[in-house]
Amino acid sequence: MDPGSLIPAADAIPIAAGWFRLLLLATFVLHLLAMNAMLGGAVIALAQALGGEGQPRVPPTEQAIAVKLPFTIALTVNLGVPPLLFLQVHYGNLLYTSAVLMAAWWLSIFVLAMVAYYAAYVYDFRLASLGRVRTLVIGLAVLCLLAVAFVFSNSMTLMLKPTAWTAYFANPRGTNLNLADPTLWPRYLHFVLASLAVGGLGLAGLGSWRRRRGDLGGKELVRVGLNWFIWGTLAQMADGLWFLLSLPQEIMLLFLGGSVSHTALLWLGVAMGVGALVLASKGRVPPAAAAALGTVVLMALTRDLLRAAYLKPFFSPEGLPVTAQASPALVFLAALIVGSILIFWLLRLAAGAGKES
Amino acid sequence: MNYPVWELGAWGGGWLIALIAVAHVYVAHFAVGGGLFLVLTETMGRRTNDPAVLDYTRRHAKFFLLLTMVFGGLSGVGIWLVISVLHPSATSVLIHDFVFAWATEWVFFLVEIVSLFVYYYTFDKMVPSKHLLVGWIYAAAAWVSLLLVNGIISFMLTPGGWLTGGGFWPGFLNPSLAPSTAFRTFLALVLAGVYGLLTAVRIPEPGLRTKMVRWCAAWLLLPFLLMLAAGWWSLAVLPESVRDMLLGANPEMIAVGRVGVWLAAALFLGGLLMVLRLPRTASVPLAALLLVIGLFYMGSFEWAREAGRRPYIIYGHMYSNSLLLSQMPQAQAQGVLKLARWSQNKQITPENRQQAGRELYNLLCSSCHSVGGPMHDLLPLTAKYGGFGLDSQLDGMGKLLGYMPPFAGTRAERQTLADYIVRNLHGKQEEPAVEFKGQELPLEIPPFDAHKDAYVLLCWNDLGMHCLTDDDQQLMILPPANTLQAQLIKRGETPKLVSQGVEISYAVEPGHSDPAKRLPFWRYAKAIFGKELPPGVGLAGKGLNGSMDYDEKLGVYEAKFIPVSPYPDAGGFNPYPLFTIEAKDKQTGQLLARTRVVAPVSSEVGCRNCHGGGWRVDNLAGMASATGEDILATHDRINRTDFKRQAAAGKPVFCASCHADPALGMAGDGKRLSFSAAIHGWHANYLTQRGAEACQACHPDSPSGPTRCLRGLHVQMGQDCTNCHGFLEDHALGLLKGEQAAGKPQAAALMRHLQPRSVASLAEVNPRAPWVNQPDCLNCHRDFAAPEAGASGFNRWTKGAEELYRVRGDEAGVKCAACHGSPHALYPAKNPYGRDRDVVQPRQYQGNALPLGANQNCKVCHTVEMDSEMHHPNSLRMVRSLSTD
Repeated sequence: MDPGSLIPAADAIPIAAGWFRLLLLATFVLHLLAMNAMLGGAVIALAQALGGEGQPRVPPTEQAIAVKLPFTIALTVNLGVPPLLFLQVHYGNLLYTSAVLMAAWWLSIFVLAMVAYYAAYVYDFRLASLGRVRTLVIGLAVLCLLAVAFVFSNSMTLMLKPTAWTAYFANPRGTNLNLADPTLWPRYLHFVLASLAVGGLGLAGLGSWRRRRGDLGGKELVRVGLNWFIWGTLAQMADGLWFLLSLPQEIMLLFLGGSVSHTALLWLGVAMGVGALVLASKGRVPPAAAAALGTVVLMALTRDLLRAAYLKPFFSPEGLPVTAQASPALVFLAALIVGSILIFWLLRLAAGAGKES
Repeated sequence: MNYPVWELGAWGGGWLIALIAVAHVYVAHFAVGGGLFLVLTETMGRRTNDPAVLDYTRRHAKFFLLLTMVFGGLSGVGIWLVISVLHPSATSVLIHDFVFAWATEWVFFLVEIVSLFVYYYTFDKMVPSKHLLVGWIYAAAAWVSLLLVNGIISFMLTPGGWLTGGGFWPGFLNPSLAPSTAFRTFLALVLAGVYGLLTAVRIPEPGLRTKMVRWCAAWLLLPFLLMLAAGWWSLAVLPESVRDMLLGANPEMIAVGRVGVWLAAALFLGGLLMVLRLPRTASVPLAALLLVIGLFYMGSFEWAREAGRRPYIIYGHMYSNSLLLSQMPQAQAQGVLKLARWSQNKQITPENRQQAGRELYNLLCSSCHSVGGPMHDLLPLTAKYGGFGLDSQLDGMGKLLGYMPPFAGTRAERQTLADYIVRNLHGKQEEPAVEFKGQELPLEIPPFDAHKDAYVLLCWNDLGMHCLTDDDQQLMILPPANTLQAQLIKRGETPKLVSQGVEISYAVEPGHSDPAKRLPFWRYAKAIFGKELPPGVGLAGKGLNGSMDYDEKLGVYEAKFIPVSPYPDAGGFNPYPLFTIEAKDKQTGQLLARTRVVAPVSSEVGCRNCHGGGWRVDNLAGMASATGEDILATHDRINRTDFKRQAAAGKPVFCASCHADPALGMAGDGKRLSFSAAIHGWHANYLTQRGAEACQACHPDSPSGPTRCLRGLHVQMGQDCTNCHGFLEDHALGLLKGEQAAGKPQAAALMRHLQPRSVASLAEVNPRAPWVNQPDCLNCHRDFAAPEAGASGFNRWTKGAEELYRVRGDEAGVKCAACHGSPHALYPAKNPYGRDRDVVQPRQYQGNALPLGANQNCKVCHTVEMDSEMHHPNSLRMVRSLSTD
């Protein structure tokens, strides 16, 4: 059976594909940042809880994360909506197929995320009273979030490989995974390690901000956070190499000089990551964070190229018919502007709450 | 037909969506109404400067945050995930056509999250006016979210102008957007009250508790009537087809609607109760109960919305099983397995039949049905069918009952799917039908001396087969009522028909004289026909033995409605009991002539083929109770009658009491279709594109069955029912057109999907009245000559009863049937219960099985050779191509 023949026909899109690519990448980067803060923060909190066992008080770093964790989950979920939406616009026919093949796991995503979310709230609201049980609570949240990431890694890789889809005919019950894909584990690890590193850097950023406001506890956050960033990024270097080598050869070679754009983007990203590492090792949090942000953006672009390279023999969203309906997009744009202003105003209002009198 | 199908088994049938969606929307509506509830409750607290009210608001806000943001937010994601795996094609349409509605909704979702966080976490820290403003921003953002999502959901039910030209705005601004948004808005406010009660009843301080409980009850009660009004408005704007579906064309809606009404009433009543000062022991459980009632009410509403959309997922565009409406012709012509991208078995072979059946099930059925699960379980729905019945059910799907789509595949795929469901899902191993081999019952042909005997007595049955139904406890279609007619001819050079001075008696053969022994008819005759009948006496007062009456108009002796049974007194089944007929001089009592005739009667009525149940008698014939019960239940479900209960209460249903049946002399109620038109019209939709097997599915003429009622010369010439009556579709259309002509517009619904087969168009089908307008023998036998090749009896009807074969006679008054035998058993007929059973009289009078007087054997009556074709043209011609034996 020709795997290409299994690719479902795609529907027309309302405006040119480039706009959706832009929206997909932009919102995906935002989602990644929130997700990294969430997962990285949760893992660091778990490590803190494990490290702080036997101590009478909850370590301040853990406390700082506990308060913020529900926000990061809310943001991750919310900011996950638009990239998933725009991904469906471009690649819905592939994504739905992979989702059906692994439907049982796919559906577990929201249940696992919900459990993690409630666990995070319990962890936040009952941190002090939970005692040692809090390790289990945050451990449960971490486990669920890691599982969600694993399901996504499977889905995102399976959608790129129509050759693996024939597994459906042996098992149509929706319990397939993409375990035979050599890129699965390094790719999964890539995201998890990035979360530890960026989550750590986010913690350091929080500490740095607090330190500037005269909060002495901020220093500890910076120390812990940078540690996670540095070690996470170093591990990422090794895993990145593994990931690269696990790619199909013709795709791997694109990133090793076979294509200027592929090679340039990847290695610029790597260089930016190394720069962030150097800056972090010197304790310079804001520039390290800026470099890390640049790395995330470059890696997101690289990921997009990687996806296109995988799909090149089968499918390209640029070939989708366009129905040319701009007015709903303009409504969205207007809503985005108004919404952003409102959010900015709300956050300012919240920051100033309690200080008016 | 674009995507793989998740094989869910028991979890299919929409159960997952229902589970996730109902839970989500219940909380999501709270997220909308609850926002306004929070800000207005806070406003009340601020205005009255009541810290206790504010404290309640803050605590309710926490509950609100934890429920709506976590459960509401994540279950919303869950809906996305679940529809993408259960209905990927529809999801793709919703995403691609409305991507910017979703994107805009996301913006408002983000505003909701931020404003709710700010609202909750700054409750006691922010300047009240600004805090309230934050609350208002939340409430507004939540409502806009509802509007946007509802635009897309309502689009699925009423796509409006999108169907013709596509486009975002025609789809989004669809006809039901405004009323359904109004309905959901008021529902959200009601639910805000329901949820509010949950926290209010837990307030420890009695005064505050009462105040807040009443406040919440007001939220529940005040928008309630507006919600009902908006519900009415929503219903009013729906296209008629959708509204019909909601109002009961989809039978499951009757129960759902009823439950919805009761739940709404319970919710309102609960709200009223809450206004009273109830003790906490009562108010706490009542608040919890109201929450549960609210959930089920919401569930019934969402269920109704989904049910109203059947059989589509996007109304008028995409069926629930993802097939596009525009793809249906291709699927039916080429096969859905070929059309589906994710099928492996493109061609059905004996080897892959089971796998192909499974694929067909997944593609066509599994989006709405589970196998053994809690939602739309296919197993009980199909339990009654065998392969033939289910194949027929699939054939008729989506034609008369619009909540299912038409079967989207070829005939072979339909049979394969039916087979798969029957054999694999039900595990039924249908035994191949055991062919009834026939039997040779003893028959003594009365003697006839051509030289001495002065009379020829001819007798026949008016129909050639009388069917009866014997589940009399539940329903009556046809009672035992066999009519025998006779003519006595005094032989001579100019024979004479005798019409006076004689008594013609009839007597059933021994062993058939006590029909009441095995037929339940007499136990229910009073309930059905309104008159008490002594056992063994028929509807016209005739028993199994008696005298015939002379009918001046017909010119025959007749015994009407003899209640002869196909069940011999001692057991078994014999659809051809013999009667002995004797003519005696009335004055002297001298026997003038004696002959025998079969009174064909059969209960091999094949309702069970589709309605389930077994045969009542000896696995051969008779309607089992389960069959009758299913017929009534089906009638009840489709026509909203109450027959099953009525029958159980001791009042069997007599079909002809509503549906006119000239065969029984019943005029019906004058409004409904005649029984013939209704029963043929309905079932023809389920039995299309078949030959005589469609007729044999119901009438006792199965070639492997124990009756084989078509046994005359035509069947020996290789003909079957369709040669005279047309195919079932033709037959039904003629009857339905007759009903239309008689001013019964409801016939059109049955005709809509029927295509004539014996003529090119519906316009060419001539209307006919049942039992009166029948195919005329002379259609084929023009001027009594041999038929031309390809001649068909269909579509030229006898103009009135007087032209019917069974009524017609020659100029001398001799009836056609007197010489040629009963309809369906024309001489030389071959009876499966004995070679000569249907040809006693030809055998008796002329020693062969041919029509009386055939091959110039005029001496049977005339005693001399004749050279005039007085009876009909060609009557002196030698018999063609048939054995003269």
